Amino acid sequence: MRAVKKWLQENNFFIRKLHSLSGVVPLGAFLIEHLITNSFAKFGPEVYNQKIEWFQSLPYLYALEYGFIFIPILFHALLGFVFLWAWSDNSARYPYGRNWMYTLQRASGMIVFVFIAYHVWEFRFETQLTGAPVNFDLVANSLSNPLIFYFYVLGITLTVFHFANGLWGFCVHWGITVGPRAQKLSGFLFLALGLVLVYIGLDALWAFR
Amino acid sequence: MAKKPKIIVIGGGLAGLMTTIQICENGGEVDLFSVVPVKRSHSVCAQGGINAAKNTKGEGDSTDKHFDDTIYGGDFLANQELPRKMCEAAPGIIDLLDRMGVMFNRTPEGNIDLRRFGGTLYHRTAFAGATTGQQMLYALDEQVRRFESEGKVTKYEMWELMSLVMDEAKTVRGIVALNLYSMELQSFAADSVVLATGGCGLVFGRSTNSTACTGSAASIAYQNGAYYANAEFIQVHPTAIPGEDKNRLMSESARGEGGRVWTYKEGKPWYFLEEWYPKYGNLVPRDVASRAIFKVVKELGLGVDGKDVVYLDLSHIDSKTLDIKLGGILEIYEKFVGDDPRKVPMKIFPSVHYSMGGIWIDTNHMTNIPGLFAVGEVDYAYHGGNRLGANSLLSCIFGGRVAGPSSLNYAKGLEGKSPGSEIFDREVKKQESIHENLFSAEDGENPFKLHEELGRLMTDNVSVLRYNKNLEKTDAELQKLLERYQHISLSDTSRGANPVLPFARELYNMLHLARAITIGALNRNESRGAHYKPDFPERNDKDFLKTSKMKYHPDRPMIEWEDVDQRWIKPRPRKYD
Amino acid sequence: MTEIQKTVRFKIKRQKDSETQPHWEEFDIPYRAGMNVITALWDIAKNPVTANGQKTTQVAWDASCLEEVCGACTMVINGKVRQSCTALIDHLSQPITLEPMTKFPLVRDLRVNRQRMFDALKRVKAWIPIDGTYDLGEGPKLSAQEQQIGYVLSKCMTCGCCVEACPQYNDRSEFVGAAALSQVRLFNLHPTGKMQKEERLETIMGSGGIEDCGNSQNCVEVCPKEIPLTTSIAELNRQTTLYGFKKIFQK
Repeated sequence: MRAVKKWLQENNFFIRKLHSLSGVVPLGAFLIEHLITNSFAKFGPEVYNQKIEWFQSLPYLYALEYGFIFIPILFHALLGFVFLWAWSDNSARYPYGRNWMYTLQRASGMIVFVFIAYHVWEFRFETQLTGAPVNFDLVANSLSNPLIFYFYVLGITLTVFHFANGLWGFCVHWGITVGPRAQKLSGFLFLALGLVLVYIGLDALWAFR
Repeated sequence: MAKKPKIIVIGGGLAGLMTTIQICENGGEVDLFSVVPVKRSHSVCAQGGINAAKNTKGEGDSTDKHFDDTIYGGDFLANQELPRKMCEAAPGIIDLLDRMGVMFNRTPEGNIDLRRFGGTLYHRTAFAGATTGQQMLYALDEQVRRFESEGKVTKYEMWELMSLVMDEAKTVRGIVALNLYSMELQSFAADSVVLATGGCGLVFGRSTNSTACTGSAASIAYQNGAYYANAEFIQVHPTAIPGEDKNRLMSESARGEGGRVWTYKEGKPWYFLEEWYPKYGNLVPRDVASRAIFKVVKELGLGVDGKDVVYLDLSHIDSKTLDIKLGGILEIYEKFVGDDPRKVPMKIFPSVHYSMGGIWIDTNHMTNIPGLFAVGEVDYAYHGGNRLGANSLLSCIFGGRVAGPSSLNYAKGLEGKSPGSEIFDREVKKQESIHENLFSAEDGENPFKLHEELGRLMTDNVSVLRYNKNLEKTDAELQKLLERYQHISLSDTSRGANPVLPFARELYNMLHLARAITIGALNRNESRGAHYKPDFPERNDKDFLKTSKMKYHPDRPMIEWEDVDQRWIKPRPRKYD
Repeated sequence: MTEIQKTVRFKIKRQKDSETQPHWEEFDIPYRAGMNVITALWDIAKNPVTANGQKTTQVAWDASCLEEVCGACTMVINGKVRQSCTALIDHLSQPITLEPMTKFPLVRDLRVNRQRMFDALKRVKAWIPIDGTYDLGEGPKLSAQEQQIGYVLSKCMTCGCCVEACPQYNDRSEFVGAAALSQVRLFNLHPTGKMQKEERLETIMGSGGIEDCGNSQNCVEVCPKEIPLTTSIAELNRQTTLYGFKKIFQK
């Protein structure tokens, strides 16, 4: 534990930068891809299942999955939890817009972690263990439970929020948006992006009903 | 290698920090004491700027003219050697501060801009917005922090001077200080001690000074036998916002940038300074302006709305220019009064501001007590009977450049073995017993109430207009207050961070300083600079072109007179019209 | 005719030292036009009696300039951190609550020890390392525009509002805080200070440095001097990012 702390402290700058980068690439990029792919559900089970099969037929599938999705998620999430250590919330006392965003970013991160863990377990690892085929029916079946369905509504919305607001933070964190005007404009831009992505995500979700 | 000389500097304002820097740079070590974190010292309140005859506006200004304005402005009371050297050093001091990173306002070419100030006809004042003192203090604070990180300076912030430790030869060997967080008394030995403890505005209750400006440390030196010189010369600044807790300064730079003082007469605006003093107009020296406002308000009864205020008007000036050059003070007015001075004239009235007098020093900044030095507002040496605006920051920096090396030289030349611990222990015990007495008193008077009375007494009788009858009465009242002081008690007798105990100690010292100021004023039967007696309206060089030197005596301060060094400039009548 | 004197109700958090439990005391202070919190605290000093007539001790608080240029009298007033000198009674809802800042070791009542902020200034080398105070001629030229930017940054009085409101600044973190970071920007833009730019950046790239900023932007909201602290931090993000790349690719 102490060694981890020391390592974190000594490499603070690069670890933090990597943390913020990992949220954009590959995780953010994957999120966009994932939401769009899911939208094929709008064209019916056949089209959707074709896409899934196509994905499952990719070469180096495991390497891609682990290298670009699972490990970055774990890295991003676990470090995120470590960074929460120094968090002392005061958004009620100082209820400024940005402070709420700051708080929501952390709160959403924790919920999203649970959501993703559940989602990945259900559709990736549980199916691997039971040998159940991953297809439209499997998803539709699961979502037929309204509790699960609304959990997904919440999960997708918060994931997109975490991503869009994270992008805003990324731009500040990397020194891309410096002045208040630039930060305000980028805020509107990422708000728009977030709304589009939430629409795409929820629209696909409803296609499974 | 011999031990490095150790010097105690008390006070972390501009003068104390500059002294500290000079000592460190020349190989000494400093213990720096301050009643507030040094970055919060009163120097932050200096607004308008710092004078230096850089002559960058093609007006033919020179250090000689600066020197002449300074002596003339001070009504010829200052000994001339130090002010002369100060004015000569001034342009170099600006360059030094600039190199330290002070954000002086700039000309389009990127040079340091200069503005006009009172008591001169030249653009001579470098400025950083309207918070020049703050900016300079921060620059020095940063340099000292650098020395601190190199181990050359040890800071004792939130420690207050309680007494000096003297040996048999009446030489200063160290101090006893009080930790304001723990009420612990501790002695500190040093090869020399520098007082840089600022002014004594709190003696007048409300002034433009910070809460730390009690004059307590100066009074301690005075009660230990240091001469307190020209005590009666207290500057009353013409333009301050009257307040319940303090009077907030409206910098002279407001007038330097074109601000006009007026009131209504027969329903029409009356620019009385411009009418009475056509040559200098609104930029007459502070003593002249304060008396004029007093005359308008108290004698002619022409204060705005019948109250004790007149207008200081900036509303005719472009508001963007105002923001760049005066932003800091406009903000103060807005925040504390609620009106926007870019649009409506400000309401102001004179307030006690600065003490020209202070601990007597020689040209090396040493007091008459060997090993004890004084620098900054606490010394008496630069401003004679009236200080010109923007000369105080200069005298702090220049004074530090003298006091630093000379206190170090004194320390290096110190012979004989260091004193034993007895004199330190004895002094600590003495202070402890004073505290025990204060702690054990019950149901006595409240020191804060006593201080309120002191302030009112001094403001009413020893500020702009002075009458001998009132001064005599004031001294009698002060003695009564000293008597009543013996029966005070503290609302708080805990030994933690007790805020009452240090105040009670300061109050005692303030009372003695108040007596020195009053007796000084009583004895000077003339009018000179800030000291004005309607019964003696003229300057009297024959009898009073002399430094008054007050020596402490428990019964009554004793006054001595010393001739003024007039080597370069002979006295001439002082007129600004 | 008797006039009923208007009073102002204060609720003050009292605490003898960091070990004792805090308690609240209430005071009724006679109202005067234009009065501020400092005036009221002085009234209590002159007459330390609570609203229900109980004798108490004077409240301990810090003050110095009373014009909002020294930063000393910072405290939490009606839940928000600010200077008590500029806290005018007319603009505050009653009862007016006074609490000490929460991010620093408590000394007593409303007094805290802000040494951590000064230590941060030491850590980030917030100074220009001049060769000496001897006469070395004029300083570097500076454009009026640069001066205006620098001046605003240089008005920081280390009052602690920014870090008091910062959710990332507490005793679990070593964060240097917005005030110190903004000073790095100041010195990195000065013509001479620039020469030590990378040295200064190094000081904020370690643990507790700029990466500990969580971007809540409370600092800029509460700064009494309206210093663009978040711009400073973002600007330093840019500087450290570029310097970080340089370190990776130039070695």
